[in-house]
Amino acid sequence: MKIQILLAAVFLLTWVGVVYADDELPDDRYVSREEYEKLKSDFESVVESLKAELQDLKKGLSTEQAQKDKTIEALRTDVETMKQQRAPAVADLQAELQSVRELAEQSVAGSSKFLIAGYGTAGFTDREGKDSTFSASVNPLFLWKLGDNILFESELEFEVEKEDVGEAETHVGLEYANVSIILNDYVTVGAGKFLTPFAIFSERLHPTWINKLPDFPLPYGSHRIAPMSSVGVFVRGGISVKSTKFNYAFYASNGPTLFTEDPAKAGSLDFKDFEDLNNNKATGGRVGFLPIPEIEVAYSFQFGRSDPEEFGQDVAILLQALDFSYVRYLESVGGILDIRVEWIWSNVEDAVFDPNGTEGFGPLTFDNDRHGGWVQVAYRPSGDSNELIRNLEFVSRWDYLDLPNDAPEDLEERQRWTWGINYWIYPSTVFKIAYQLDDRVGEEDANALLLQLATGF
Amino acid sequence: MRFPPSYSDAQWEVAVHHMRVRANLTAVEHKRIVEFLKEAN
Repeated sequence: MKIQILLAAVFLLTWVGVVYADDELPDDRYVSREEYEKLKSDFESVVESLKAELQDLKKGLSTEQAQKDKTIEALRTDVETMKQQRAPAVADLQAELQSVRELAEQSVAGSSKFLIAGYGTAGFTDREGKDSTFSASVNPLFLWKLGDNILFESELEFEVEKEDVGEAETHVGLEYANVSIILNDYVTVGAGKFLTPFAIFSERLHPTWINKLPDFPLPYGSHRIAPMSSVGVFVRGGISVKSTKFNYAFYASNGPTLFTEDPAKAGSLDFKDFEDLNNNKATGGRVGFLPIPEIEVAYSFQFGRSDPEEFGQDVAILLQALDFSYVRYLESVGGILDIRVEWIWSNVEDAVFDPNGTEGFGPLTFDNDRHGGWVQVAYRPSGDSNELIRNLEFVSRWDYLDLPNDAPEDLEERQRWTWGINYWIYPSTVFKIAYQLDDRVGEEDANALLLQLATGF
Repeated sequence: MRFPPSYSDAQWEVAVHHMRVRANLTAVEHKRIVEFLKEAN
């Protein structure tokens, strides 16, 4: 401010100088006392005027500052009021956060991780020659990851059954229970009861929410020629080679035993030999090759021997299978095409059944070779813009089973065509409706209507 | 099929470990699937 006053004074003096310089001055160039007093008086009046102006400015500024201070104080008061009003809500939130934190800490069970999954099924079957019936089952799956490389897995099955009038019961089964250890990037070993790595249906496709039709293909039905599960040890893994991939699974298990006394089953294999009846162990495996990720071809085998108690004969058993898979989204058809093919051969060494005739059908010997398979094509228009159509899936399957003509069982050959439409209510919940033409040689044909609701959880 | 949000990250680790054993996945495939599911979660 002092500088401003000084500048104003200099300006005034300069101006006065200029004015008087233009006037006519006395020749001697000296200012008279009167002139001096006048100049001084003018200068003082200018200074006073500037002081008054400065005073006004100061007053204005202090008024403005006071208003600002007042506003800030009002805001502070508002904030304090809000803090007081929100205090209970904040306290509640902090308490809730603490309880969530405690719950999360309680859920951490050491280094192991646990998961319950599985699937549930409700069905209806109306087959010619039999009473139509509803059915229901649930299969919980328990998974424990005990460390980075160790996994325990187990699946149970609960299914309603009715043996006879007044004999309804719930069937409980242990589908599998095993521990596996990852040794390195390419090798996993394990032991227990496991789904048999023989072809693809048992290991990968049998859960009802994955199986695209309501029933199993013939090789896994009532005249089964392939194992679903085994008790033993296994080693398995996968290896990528450039853009292709190989996978393998080998196992040693109790293996199947031979039915010898029941004429309806003599010569067929009992794959539920979970507690071995002899020291002969079966060995088997599956080797797969994926030239591209969407295609897999594989060969499976199982070799073992069986010498049932009191049968007195030791027979060799060789099972072999080829399987093919193709699953891909095709732009050209606007959906997912899923093609599966499996073919299984069962060769059991010849034996003499009921050698003494005590069972009423022997002595009997026959060429005990069986084979069968299935081809399935499914198409889901998942690329369609209409949600209703996008959730549909169309399935067609042909399956076949050839049994020894000279065996005592009635059925010699069976062939089925099954057409189905699925509607995916949810990504893991499907309703299936299918019609089946069931052509049998040695028994009455038995076409069927099959309905099923399956959900994975 | 399952939506990624149907399981937590920890649950997916268990599920994919199970998948690795069953489907003979390689270690790299295992890792990539877990990463994908966690990112999509």
